[in-house]
Amino acid sequence: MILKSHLFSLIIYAFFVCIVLAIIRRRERKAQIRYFVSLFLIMVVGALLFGWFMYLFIS
Amino acid sequence: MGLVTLQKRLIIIMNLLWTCNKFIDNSKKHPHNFPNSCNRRYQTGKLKKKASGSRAEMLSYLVLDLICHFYYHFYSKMKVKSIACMILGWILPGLGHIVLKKYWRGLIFFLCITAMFALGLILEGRIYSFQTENPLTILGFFSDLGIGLYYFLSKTLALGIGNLKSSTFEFGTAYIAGAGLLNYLVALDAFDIALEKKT
Repeated sequence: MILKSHLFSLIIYAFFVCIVLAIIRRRERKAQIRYFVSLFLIMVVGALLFGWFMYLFIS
Repeated sequence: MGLVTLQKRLIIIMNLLWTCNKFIDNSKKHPHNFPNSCNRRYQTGKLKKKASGSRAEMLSYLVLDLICHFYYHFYSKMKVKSIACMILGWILPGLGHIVLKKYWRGLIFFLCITAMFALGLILEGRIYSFQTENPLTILGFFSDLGIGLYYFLSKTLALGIGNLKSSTFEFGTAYIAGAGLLNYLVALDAFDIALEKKT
């Protein structure tokens, strides 16, 4: 099952959250798209970086 | 303490409360929601009172103040409408926006939050009930409760029991909790739109 991939689940989760937040926080279409893209990248890339950061502490 | 003194003090306290009221800006922005008597008296945010007066006069001030406060806080059309939209938005994601004729926005909210909730169930996430044995689950309960009607439906249909053995359990639970929290924001957004704080 494709949703067993945590990365894919993370991306879908970030996608939905970013859509809703972009519509709530911004009113103009261009601003919404910009906000969506930046928030999506922050969530996905941030989670990946934090995941690799935690990898350093595996004993 | 005489009756007149008591009334004077009550009036002073009510005026202080009123001037401190966070909704005073709305009375300036939307004076049409207030009766004329309230408009004349409250439009500057200050209520000029006479320091002295007959008992009947003071009593009439008190009664009028009470009526104005009661009217503003409980029967202001805009506020009733905004609370109704917020509750509708909480019951069904996006419904508050649809009632406010923001059709596309409401539809997108409905689709996104419903999809998140459905995915959470597919991923065998858990919907928490209120219980005090494990206090941390109370937070989960409040976030799940944000999904509104879906929460009660899933409890009735015995969905969202959660499968701890499944590798997707944590993600499923996060999806459901996230959908509930987002729905709180959506409902509050509908509240703000109805109050004309947002477009």
